[in-house]
This record gives sequence, structure tokens and C-alpha cells, in this order.
Amino acid sequence: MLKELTKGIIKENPLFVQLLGVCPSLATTGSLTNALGMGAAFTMVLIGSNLIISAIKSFIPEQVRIPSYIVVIASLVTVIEMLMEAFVPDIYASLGIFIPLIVVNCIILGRAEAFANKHGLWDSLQDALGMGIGFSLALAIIATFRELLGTGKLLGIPVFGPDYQPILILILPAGAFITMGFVFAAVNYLRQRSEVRHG
Amino acid sequence: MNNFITKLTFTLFLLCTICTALVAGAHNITKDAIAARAAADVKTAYTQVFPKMGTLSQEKIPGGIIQDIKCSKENGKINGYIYTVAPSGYGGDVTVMVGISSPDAKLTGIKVLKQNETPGLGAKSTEPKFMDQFAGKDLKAPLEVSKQATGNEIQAITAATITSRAVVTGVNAARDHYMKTYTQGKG
Repeated sequence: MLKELTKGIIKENPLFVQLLGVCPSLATTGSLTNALGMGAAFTMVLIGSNLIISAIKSFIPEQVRIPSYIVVIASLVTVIEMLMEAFVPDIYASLGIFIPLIVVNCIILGRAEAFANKHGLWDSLQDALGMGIGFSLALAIIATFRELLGTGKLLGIPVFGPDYQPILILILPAGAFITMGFVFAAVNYLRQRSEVRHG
Repeated sequence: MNNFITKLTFTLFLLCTICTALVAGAHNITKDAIAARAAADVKTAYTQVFPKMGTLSQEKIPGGIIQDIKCSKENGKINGYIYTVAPSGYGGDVTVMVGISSPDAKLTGIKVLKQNETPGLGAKSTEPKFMDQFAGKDLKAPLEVSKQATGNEIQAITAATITSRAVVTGVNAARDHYMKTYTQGKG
């Protein structure tokens, strides 16, 4: 019954498997705090957008569906950003910078097009939650490597002690590509191995 | 065919109208709260660099890297100035707020408001370890950057000399302007 929820976490992980949302992932995985913040803000927006798209899917003619989704998503993100800034300033202070990045996150539009416009509210909610968790998890894995090796800290707390010489490149943009390459390779290796075993 | 196009146009038009109305509504509900918060944030920054802040008034801005000058008065007497300067760092302008107490010409604190420096290097300029060095410095002579700080020297951030110099350049620009303009040439 929760099939739609679990598929986004591993089997159809948006970042590792579908390679969607790479751009915001590069920008927000420099520290674990940022990665978790982006993951939370992203999941919130995706739930809202999947629910709305699923609810209005029968009113939208197929020929104009993409512009319609974009209008809905952009408005939703703008409204969420304004409401958060006004009423939950503490959360906004930590997540606020990621919200404009979500507008250009292709996973949101991807889920609207690939899932929410063909499924009901309950399935779309599960899909959004699963994809949100999957994306957050992927960000957290990359960010853990980058922050730990790039600064010697995790969540801002020193782990390796003062003698550790940080590998600075890992927290720079180039390091994002390098880390992602290694993590994607590892994930694909594990996936292929399990496919061979089960296939 | 015509009917079909009309239907598409009308649907999009309707959707956009609804969305615009929602965004406009949300903006109306939230704009006061957001403006109040932004004003409070600026005030917090002011009190951080200049704890004895009184009533603020706008001063004439000379241009250059000095972006803003506020004059603070307590009981009608000037007790200091708050400068906002934007010297060039490694990755663009570094916006720094500088508090100077008057007439004793001492730094009361600085705060790096905005920077685009290298993470892990120049971005350390926003950490208290670097910023706290400035409070209490005497402004009779310009500040300098060095590896081991004594007297009027500021200890540079390791591997981020350009950023450290930029912040000090900004503080010195505020100092020069303060000395020339507000101490009747006594500086």
C-alpha cells in the first residue's frame, strides 16, 4: 500500500537514479546543515505542488499542461516563501535561502508531469513524501563526505581534532562534482550488483 | 478549431488570474510583518556594532566604498557613528558595518553583513574569532593586517589575506572619513 512512498527513496531516487536536481545539489551540499535545510524545504514544496496538480489535473487541457504546472509551482513557492518569512521567521532564517532555488528544481516539475497528473491525491502525497525523503537522503550523503573531509567538522562540530588538515577543494564547487562522481559511481555499482543477483 | 484555442487560452488565463490573486493576497497579508522584521534585523546589526546606540540620523554619504553613515545621538549629544562600507574582497564586495564611538575615536565593533568569499577561507571573516578583534581598537592610527596581532594590528585569517585586508581597508576608510569629518581636524 505504501509502494509509492518507498520507491522514491532507493529504486527511483531522484538524484542518484533519475539524475534530477543536480544543480541545487551542487549548491547546498557544502555542509550537512544546508543539505538538511534544502531537503526539508524541498519536501514541503513538493508535497504542496503534487497535491495541487493532482487536484486540478482534470481541468488542465493536455496541450497547456507544462505552462500551467510552472505557474502553479512558481506561485506556490512564492506564497510559501512570503508566509514563512512573515510568520515563522526562525525557520525562514535557516531555510529561506533555499526556497528560491526550489523554483528551478526540475524534480518538482518532473513529479508533476510524471506522476501527480496521472494519480490521485493519496498516491501523489506518498510520491511527494518518498521523493522528498530520497532527495534529502541523497543530499545528506554527499554533504556528509564534503563537510567531514573538507572542513573536519560535521554539523559545525569538530570531529577530527585541530591537527586535521581539511581538503579544502571538497567544499568548493569543484569538490561538489568530484564527490558526486564518487557517490554516483558507488550507488550505481551497488545497484548493478543487486540487479545481477536478483535478475 | 477556434473553439479549441479559445478553451486553451481561457484555461491558462483563468489559472494565471487565480495564481496572481493568491500571490497578491499573500503579499498583502505578509508585507507588514516582513517589513517589520527587516527593520528589526537592521537594528540588531546596529546594536551589535554599536551597543550604546541612541537615536539614529542619516549623515551625508561621501561616496567611494562608504555606502552609508548613521549618526547616533544620546540625549542630544553625538556618541558615535555607524558606517556601512563595501571594500572589494576576493569574490566581490564585502559589506561591513563599522561602529565608531565619538569623541574618543574607538572602534566599538564590526560586522560582516554580506560576503561572497571562499567557503572555509575568506568566509571565516563572518566568525566572531575574526570580527571580535576589532572592538576596542583605537583609531588614532590606521589599522594594519599582520600574522601576529599587537596594538593596532588585526590578525589575518589563515590563507585569506585578501579578505582580511579588504575588511581592514573598509574599516580604515570609515576611520579616515570619521577623522576628517567629525573630529574638526584634531585627528
